[in-house]
Amino acid sequence: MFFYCLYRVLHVIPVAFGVVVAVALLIHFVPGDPVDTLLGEFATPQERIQLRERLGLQQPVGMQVVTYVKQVARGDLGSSLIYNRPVAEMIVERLLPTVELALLAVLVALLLGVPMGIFSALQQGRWLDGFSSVFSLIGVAMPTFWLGPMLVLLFSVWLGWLPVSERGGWTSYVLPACTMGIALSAILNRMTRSSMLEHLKENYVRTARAKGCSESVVIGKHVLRNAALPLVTVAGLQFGVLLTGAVITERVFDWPGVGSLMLEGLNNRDYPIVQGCVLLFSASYLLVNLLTDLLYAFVDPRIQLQTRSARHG
Amino acid sequence: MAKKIKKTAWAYFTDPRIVYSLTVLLLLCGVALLSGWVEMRWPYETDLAMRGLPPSWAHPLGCDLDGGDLWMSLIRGASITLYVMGLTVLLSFSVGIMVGILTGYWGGWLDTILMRVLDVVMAFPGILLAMAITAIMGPSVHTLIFAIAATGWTGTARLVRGQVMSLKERDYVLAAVSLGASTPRILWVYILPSLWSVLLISAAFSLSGVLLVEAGLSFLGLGAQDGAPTWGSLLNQGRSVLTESPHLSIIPGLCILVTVLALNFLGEALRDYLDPRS
Repeated sequence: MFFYCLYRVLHVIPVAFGVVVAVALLIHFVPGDPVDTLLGEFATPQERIQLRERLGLQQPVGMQVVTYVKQVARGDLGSSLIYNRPVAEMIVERLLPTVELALLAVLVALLLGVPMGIFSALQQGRWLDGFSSVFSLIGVAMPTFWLGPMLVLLFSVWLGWLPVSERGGWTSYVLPACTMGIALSAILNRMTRSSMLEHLKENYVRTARAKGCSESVVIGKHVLRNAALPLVTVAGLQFGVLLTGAVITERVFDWPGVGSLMLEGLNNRDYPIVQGCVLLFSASYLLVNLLTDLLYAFVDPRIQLQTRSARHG
Repeated sequence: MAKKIKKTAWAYFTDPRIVYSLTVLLLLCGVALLSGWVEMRWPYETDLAMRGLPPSWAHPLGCDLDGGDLWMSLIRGASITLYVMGLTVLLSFSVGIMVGILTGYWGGWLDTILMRVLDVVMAFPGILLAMAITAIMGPSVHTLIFAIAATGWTGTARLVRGQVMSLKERDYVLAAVSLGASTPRILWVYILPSLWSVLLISAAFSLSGVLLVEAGLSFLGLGAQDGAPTWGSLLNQGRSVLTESPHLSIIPGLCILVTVLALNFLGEALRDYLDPRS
């Protein structure tokens, strides 16, 4: 277990370093000179020199990367070109709404996807199973940027039950959280169903039934505990989809989160903000994947055995 | 034998998933191919007085925000969407197959380096990197293709690498090696033909993924702006007039949903028929 955790943690370090380097180089994708793109053709030479110094572009590329890595290590993500404020401070201000939304979306996905998956596995071939399959097929194929406006149209414009956009009371969280959570719930539904069906055929389930355990004990205590294991990995892997969904959902609902800050940065060509947000999203994605792997090792003892045998074998 | 082939072909073409997906995809390709002719025959004309008009007899799908017929806009958008999808998948598969073969067949330091690069690219969640690249490079069709392919090759590379690593240990490949076959011959004659079924399955899912990413970027205003609006751009237009002209949001989104479903169905059906493990 210790070696497995150590291996996973050590594996993340070079990848995280690579991500910071890639983000530092992002500005070099600007066709031509970024300073020309930002200031236009009428800027004075003085303004050009100032901006070049501010972006660190007067240094060789290698030095720019080293400087950026050092800055990030100190928690400094540079300062916004438009607002002239530290990017890290701006991100911290916008972090809470995004985290709230992401957590609520995961809650929606768990509450909707897992029970539906369980019941459709138990009712295999019946109408509930059919409904659940259609839900997951459409849920996976339905883009967030279409689902959001459709939910607004139905529940806010036509029925008038929920507010249209912007963060306010608890009702304002319902539509954005559902928009982000439904795609994830479709994936969890599919995974729960297939994992449950696989485990329902196992010998230990037959043994539990033969012992006289009630169906609720067989499902709740035996099948579900084992079937839930792959869900940990799936939920971790889908975190990236959730983050992307956050950018789009925040745009649809005018949500004041990190996603909308990134879009502001993209539209204003405020490169330090874009770099900071991309870095934050990637770092949280890496962290969640690492935690998922570590958590999986804790809940599934076979992981450590495999690692040990691989190490000694 | 002929009877068996006939039976298998019949099973393929009576599978409702394949029937649905082929119908949708053939219609889409037909519409996209004929878009030039359609535009010549019925030119796309705009009239600001018709801006965002709901569906009517004259305009069965309503009018877009430029005052043009939405049906015509969708046809024009379909050809660009298909162009982006096709070229992106071609580009990302070419890079992915090349990287997968290099790393899977030769291994060693090349594998270590390329796999770390792949890990770094995969550490950027979803379409974030593509968003940053399109915004920084400036929105155009070819930037869009480059940005999506820049992140899309990783899945194919990993898939091909795994397949090649397993195939190169098979007896028939080892026999070819011991008979002195050259490496290009082994790759071309013995390994690549065994990859086509997994690549075909993966291509169907990749096409649907690219469609969603392209539409997502266009929705965010980062899509191609050097031609007719794509379905995602039409959705972006519709967002600002959701209450007054809901058809501008409903119809392009339905087109995306129907196409993504068709590609997902095709991928699943192909997996059922071609992948022996499923």
